[in-house]
Amino acid sequence: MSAGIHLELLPAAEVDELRADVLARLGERASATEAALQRAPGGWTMGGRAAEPWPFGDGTALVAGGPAAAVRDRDASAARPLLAADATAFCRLAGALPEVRVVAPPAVQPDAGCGNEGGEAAGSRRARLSGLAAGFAATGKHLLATVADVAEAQAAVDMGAAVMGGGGRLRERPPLSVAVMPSADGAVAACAAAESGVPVLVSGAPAEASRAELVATLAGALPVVVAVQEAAPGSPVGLLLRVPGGGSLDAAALSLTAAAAQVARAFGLPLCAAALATRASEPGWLASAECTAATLTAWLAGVAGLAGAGSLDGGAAVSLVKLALDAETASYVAAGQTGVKVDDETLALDVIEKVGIGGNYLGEKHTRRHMPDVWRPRFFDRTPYEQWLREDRRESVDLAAAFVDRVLAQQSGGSEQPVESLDPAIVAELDAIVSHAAPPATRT
Amino acid sequence: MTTSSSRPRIDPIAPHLRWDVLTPTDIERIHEATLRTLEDVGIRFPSDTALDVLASGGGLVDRGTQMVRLPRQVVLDALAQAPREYVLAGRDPACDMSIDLQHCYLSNDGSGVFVQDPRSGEKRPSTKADAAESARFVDALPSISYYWGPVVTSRDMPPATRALHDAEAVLTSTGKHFQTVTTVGEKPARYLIEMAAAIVGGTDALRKRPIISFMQCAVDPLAHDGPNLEANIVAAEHGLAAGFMPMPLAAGTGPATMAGNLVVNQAEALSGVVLLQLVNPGVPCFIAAAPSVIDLQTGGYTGGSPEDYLLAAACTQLAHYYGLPIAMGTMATGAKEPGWQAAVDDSLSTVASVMSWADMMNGCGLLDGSKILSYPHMVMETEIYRIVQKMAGGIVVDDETLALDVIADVGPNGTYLGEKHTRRHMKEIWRPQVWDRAPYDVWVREGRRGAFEKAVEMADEILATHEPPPLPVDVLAELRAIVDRADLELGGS
Repeated sequence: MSAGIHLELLPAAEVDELRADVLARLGERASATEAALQRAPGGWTMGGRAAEPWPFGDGTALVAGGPAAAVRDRDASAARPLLAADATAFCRLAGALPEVRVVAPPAVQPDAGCGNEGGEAAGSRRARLSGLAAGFAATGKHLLATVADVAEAQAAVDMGAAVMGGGGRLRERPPLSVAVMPSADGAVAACAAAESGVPVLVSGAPAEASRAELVATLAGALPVVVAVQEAAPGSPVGLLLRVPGGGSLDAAALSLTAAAAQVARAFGLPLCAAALATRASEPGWLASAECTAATLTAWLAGVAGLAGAGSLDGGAAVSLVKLALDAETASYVAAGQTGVKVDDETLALDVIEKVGIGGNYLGEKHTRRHMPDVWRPRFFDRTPYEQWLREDRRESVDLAAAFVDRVLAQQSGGSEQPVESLDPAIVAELDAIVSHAAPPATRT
Repeated sequence: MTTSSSRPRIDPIAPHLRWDVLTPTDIERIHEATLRTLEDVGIRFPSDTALDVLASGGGLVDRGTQMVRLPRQVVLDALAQAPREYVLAGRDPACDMSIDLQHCYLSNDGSGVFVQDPRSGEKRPSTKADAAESARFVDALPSISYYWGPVVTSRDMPPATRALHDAEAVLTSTGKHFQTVTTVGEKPARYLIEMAAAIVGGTDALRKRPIISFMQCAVDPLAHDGPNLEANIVAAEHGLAAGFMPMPLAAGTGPATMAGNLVVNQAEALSGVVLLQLVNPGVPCFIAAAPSVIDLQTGGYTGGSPEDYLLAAACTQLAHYYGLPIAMGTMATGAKEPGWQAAVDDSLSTVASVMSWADMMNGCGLLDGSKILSYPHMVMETEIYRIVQKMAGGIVVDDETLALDVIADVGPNGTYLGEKHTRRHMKEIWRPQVWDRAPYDVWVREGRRGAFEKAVEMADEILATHEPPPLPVDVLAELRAIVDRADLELGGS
């Protein structure tokens, strides 16, 4: 874990016991599992098509999105199918938010005007790969692609190789990771990705927030980790924990997340938690209360990746405004995790003596030196009440919506450097890979 | 809704998890820096009574500037006399609070000046009737253990005796402990104590069952306010718990660095403890704090920032280092409505206070940086409190909770629903009050009722039905007579 404030939910003895229970559940495979875990790295360098490499597993990385198939527009009464333009907008926004380190592109649904409506399932291979293609074009950050089988994994790998300029470059600096289910298909897909140098996250979805389910979930995921290490020893592999039972992010679910992070660490595996996939249907008080608690829990527990930023409806839909707000919350929490630095400079006894009783620190050089350290919000309203009334009672969601509009109106977004656009030839190559792996359904 | 319910009247948090933001070395350094500041720079006490007490107790007093430098040993001796544990009593004994460094008690927020209509969103100036109604509302919510404030002041009453009108409204409308933050000056303090004594049967009885306590704000940096000092001196003379709340704004009335801000905060708060212990050695007292950072855009109070919650946790660690309870500014969002921003502020602030084991947490119910009362917002904040309460309890691991025998009985693919073990522990599962968990279609069919709409309904229900424990008619008359006398003497009428 990185420096900062951490909280151990479980005593060490209980973590050891949980670890032992997971291994016991694997029976004869326990010793092979322990050997494989020895080979798995606890963290690795994560690159992007255009992003600087950074150490995954050191601190908590915010992961935007997930394989949602719907989008919630602001003020819309219902979610609507997510189209290619929505995926592009979501990934561009994620690229522009400095707090987001990894982007999980949503699944693109068939456009009603394209003549292929009705022929593709919302969560189809084509939908996911089309989202991945949109992600590569829209942001240079690291992408997380959900893949169902080896063909899909291979297509994702091929797309990564295409944007990086070949398999060698892909292995050297993989711009994507893949998430797989803990199944036979998932294991084969994971091995294909790992053999190409692409990091793997093995998903687990506990049926409920209980100890028994945590043990079962981890025991279900570890055989895939073993398979990956046998196929490509030393390759990066971690765990991805989904919200228990697809339910609320309540105290039990958050406790499970914190406990899972501790046990995963005991296995030497980084853990991502999709703890921002609130069941709320709008980015309001409920979503905020759930996601703030989830974000703080993830940071305190040393979770490597906090996934689901921008998600609503339990991960079934994405919202650009929610993504911006989740990033703000992550920034808020991360600022607090730096802790309180205590040394001669920060104690400032000479300044306290100089300012004395009833004075003001505003004009002091010491204040000017440290002012940049103070956290500044983007979407928190701190205006006087009367001004707030005059300005149409703008809330955080309004400020975030305006920010989203500004980012999308610009060629490049926010604080991110302009993303080098993909060569049209590469875009065509990505489209070809998608079409080859998942031909569009035809009108029936 | 009445107080005869079988629910507990108050529901404090007994946290299991704790997070420390300061290392032992950090604490020692801040402690030494605080002692140095008290000894070398000093604190202003603009009260002759306070200066007399401090001079006789070893403080180095400059009468001209009203500054007092406190030698190290004077501070340490005073801290050693302050009790670690005491009871803050409720008028209703079921609301007694054991202040013991092991429990976290939530109060409402205080000193607001407006009330928001939950339906129109419009605000209006608060009145004495609002002070009474807010106390009745707090009385109904077990998550709120005591009444702090008033939540909103009686702006329709004369300024000179407004605090006493507030007190009359509060003491008659809740059985919970009342910690005043608006009673300043010697005479108003004596009148308030007379009122509390009238309820419990005299000043000796009040020492045994202290149904009121006092908190005063300090004047940052490194000063106190005269009338505030005098009110707390009167409280200490009567054996009532009291404390001072510094609110240094980093980069304004405190250093821009958090460590320096903590030194200023501690120096102000500890100087108050020294005064109270010199007035009445061994009297219950507490440290209070609401440190924050200046808003770099407006120059005002932020009403929520990452620095706030770090400072809150650090202040609590420091208070407990001295064995002193702490009343910590908690929640008190700067948001104007109970939306996204309020939930972020309130959640993080509550986690920081609870996970550092703050004894008293002030508090919930106000918007716009502690100015506007919103009853639905208060309900929603108690929901956040309840979530943090569950999380802070951690995971109990023992033979009963491991349930190995039940796991063996149920076996693969079975269900636990019918098990006795399940029935025994079902009640421990957290249940929401306003949290929405309905399936999406149900949510749409039922008019998209979210947390706010449910909180409005719950608030309406409480206001329409809750009855606090009544006071005898003669006591009510006595309270009225005391306030009438105060109005006459202090120019209130």
